[in-house]
Amino acid sequence: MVKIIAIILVTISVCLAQAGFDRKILEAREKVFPALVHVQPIKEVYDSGDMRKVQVTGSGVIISADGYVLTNNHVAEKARFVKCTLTSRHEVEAEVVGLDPWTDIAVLKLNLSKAGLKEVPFAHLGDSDLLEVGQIVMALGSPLGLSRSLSMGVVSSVERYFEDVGEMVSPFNLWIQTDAAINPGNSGGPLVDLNGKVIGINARAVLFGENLGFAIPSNTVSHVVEQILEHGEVERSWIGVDWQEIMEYRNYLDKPDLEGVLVANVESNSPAARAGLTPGTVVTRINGKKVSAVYQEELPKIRLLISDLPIESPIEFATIAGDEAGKISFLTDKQGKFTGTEFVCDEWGMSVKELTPRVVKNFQLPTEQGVLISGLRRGGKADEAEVRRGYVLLSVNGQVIEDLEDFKVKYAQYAENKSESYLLFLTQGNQNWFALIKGEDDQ
Amino acid sequence: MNKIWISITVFLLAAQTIVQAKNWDKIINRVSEQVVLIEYFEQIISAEAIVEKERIKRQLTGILVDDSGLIMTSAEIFPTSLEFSSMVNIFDQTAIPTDIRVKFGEEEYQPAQFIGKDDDNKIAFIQLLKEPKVKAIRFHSPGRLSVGSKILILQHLNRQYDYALLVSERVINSIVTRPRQRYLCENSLRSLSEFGLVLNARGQPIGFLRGIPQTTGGFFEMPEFSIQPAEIILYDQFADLIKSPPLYREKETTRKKWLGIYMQPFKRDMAQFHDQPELTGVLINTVLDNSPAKQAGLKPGDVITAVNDQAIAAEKDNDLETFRKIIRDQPESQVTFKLFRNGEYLDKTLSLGETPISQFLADEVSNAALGFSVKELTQDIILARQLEWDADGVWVSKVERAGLADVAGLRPGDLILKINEREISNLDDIQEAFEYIGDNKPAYLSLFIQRRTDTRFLFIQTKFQDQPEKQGN
Repeated sequence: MVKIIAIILVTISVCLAQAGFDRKILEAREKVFPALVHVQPIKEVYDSGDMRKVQVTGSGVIISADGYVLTNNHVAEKARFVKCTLTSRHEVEAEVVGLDPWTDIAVLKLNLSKAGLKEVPFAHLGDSDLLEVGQIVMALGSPLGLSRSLSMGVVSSVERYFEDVGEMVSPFNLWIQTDAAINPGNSGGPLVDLNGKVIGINARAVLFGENLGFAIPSNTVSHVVEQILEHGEVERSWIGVDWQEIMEYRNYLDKPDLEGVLVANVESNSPAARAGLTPGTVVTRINGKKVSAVYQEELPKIRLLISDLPIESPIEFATIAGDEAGKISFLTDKQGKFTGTEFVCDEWGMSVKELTPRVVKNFQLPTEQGVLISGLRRGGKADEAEVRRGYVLLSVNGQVIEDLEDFKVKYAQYAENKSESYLLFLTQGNQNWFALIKGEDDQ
Repeated sequence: MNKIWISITVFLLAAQTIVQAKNWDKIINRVSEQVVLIEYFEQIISAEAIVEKERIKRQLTGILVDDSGLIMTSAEIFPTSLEFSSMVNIFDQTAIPTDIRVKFGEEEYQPAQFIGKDDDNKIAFIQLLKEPKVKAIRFHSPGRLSVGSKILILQHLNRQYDYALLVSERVINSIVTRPRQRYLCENSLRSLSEFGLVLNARGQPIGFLRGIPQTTGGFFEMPEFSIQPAEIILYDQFADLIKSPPLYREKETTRKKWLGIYMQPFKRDMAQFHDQPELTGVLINTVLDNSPAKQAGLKPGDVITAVNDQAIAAEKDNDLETFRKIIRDQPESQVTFKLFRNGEYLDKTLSLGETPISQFLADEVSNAALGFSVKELTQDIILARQLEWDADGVWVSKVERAGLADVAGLRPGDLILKINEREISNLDDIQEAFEYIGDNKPAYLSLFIQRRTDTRFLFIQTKFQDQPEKQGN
């Protein structure tokens, strides 16, 4: 008898717990679900020397009653017009308020008045620093365009570090890893805890991996949002240093207690290079504050410490080089643009792109002078002249092209004078190339 | 009357066919002795192993071209480029062929050694160690060759057919005149190698057959499905090479002349753009640092219109080959160019250099304990890495898979700038560093490297301490 009672009690208690758990999930969902947005930006992409429009699908979450929406940079970038569908099925136009490629965050603003809405339900951001591995989370969004979907899992890791690969960069944050199913289309959607707080913005998944989704922590997000709402962009200080963790360096020096971060690379022409900072130096303090990165996962916060400084603010490093302690100080510079603006030269049938510091570095260009040939229309004048995609245009008829603005002004005249021929001088790597765009009467 | 004429003609034709058939037989018998089967081992150089372990046995067709035992074959026997080129491939290289043996007809194999090769003509030479009993092939001038002319090709079949002699009668299917005279014939029989002896209709040896490599082949294109014609290379094109074969002597290997520019065709419309409608030449678009062209003051935008009074014209990319050949095969280093620059003509006399060696011939230093090898910087690596032309340093040529350096993250292609606090600017420096490491056996090493545009530190945990000291002598 005692046995039977025990079994019954246990069964009931499990049922009760189950009911409570269900309710908790539903309550949490109810706090965020009404604020979920199905985002469909119309992007302007440059392809084969022309500008084309494509519609993509992503997710987003409303974070204020007046209609600010969070999504990913990779969802909203290059979009002039964004169509948003709310959970209430209202279709609302939105404009892009600001983009931050370095953290993959974008802020949109819904045009509520046009949609006849006064205010909209919104979700609250939680504190991602309090997250723990194993904690239950839900991912909301439109996986593969299937709107208003919810999946559930746990936090698999709170300190996932990714090195930059091409356009996929995240120097300033660690990632929340979750096994809640995340698919393309979930991008920009919220990762929610059981209190109904948005603790991350889903952004990446591993192709062919199973249940390996990654979200940008809400604390990184809120910092970026503040900046975007204030300045329209995130302004960052830049000094031109790549940092390296010191775990192995400690072993090499046989100094297990060493604290600090190792300078791995100093870009030429950067503030740090001008101040004489060299690779191999260990930085122990930045502006008086102790810094240390024994492991790779500790690097983002050091980068953030520098990038958060106002532009052209003084920065002082306490250093150890060899056995000598020293100090080095200089002014920070502004971090350059992530991607350049593109421009279509319709008459010539090609598109050109502004040179950014990233392009200059990857192409090992001596200066930032010129514009990048980003696309060619098949059979267009530039294509016929064998202008080469991926080359940098340095001059036209001997006239130096300084930058995109300069090129636009000059191109306006070139496109006018169709009877003239134009000799383009291009370069890539250590190989130059001449291309002649023939005048129309020249044939 | 007519009938008689017809029967006479028929008789004559039949007789001719019989005579020719008989001749073919004899001729094939005679020259088949001089068309030899070469067997050798190809040593594969892998960037993932510092000691070469793999070698592959291969066969090729060769032609005995000198009574002393000189044999000409395809440059496939040693495909690695020994001369500088703008394309650098640090993977998939082969070492000089070893254990070469040559078989005459049904006789026993005889040993031979590698002499050298000419990559422009895609031929290589090997030398028998003992003088052969057979006399060498005597090449003839081809006589009149036109489209439709009959030719006979002697090659070998592959292993599946036990390397049997393969004789095929073909015709010249096409003659291409630009940028140079080329005789092409169909090439659909799969032979041992894209190389063979060519006889004319009279049975005289006139040259060799060379396959044409795919030039447009993309990654997914299967070469088997797009059969290219083969080219007949006539004796006058390689006669000099037989007289004095190029010699492989490591860094002293015979090399061709070098100017050091990149160029493009100077097309008709460019000439018009410069108001010189009659002007022809090659347009210099790039002048390499530290090249004879740079020293002579050539500039991007210059048009070379004549070399030693020989007019140059290049309307298509293919035409550039003519100019390239003129430069590479110059007998003297002194040449005079006629240049067109900024609306003016000027004469420029300059000294051509020797084409720089490729990284393959660069000196290499290995450290088996750490599991990596480095090479000195050669011009091709400097260009590929966009380094300063006089850059100091060494680069990682091999990293032993799962060795200490590999585990620490070192990759082939990395430049080594420092080991511990020691600056590394040449092979001597790294030798010294290796000696220091060998003597002191540090538990950890620091490598300061450059990978693409960035520098970083790598730390090697050496495990020297774990290895017991060797006992005894």
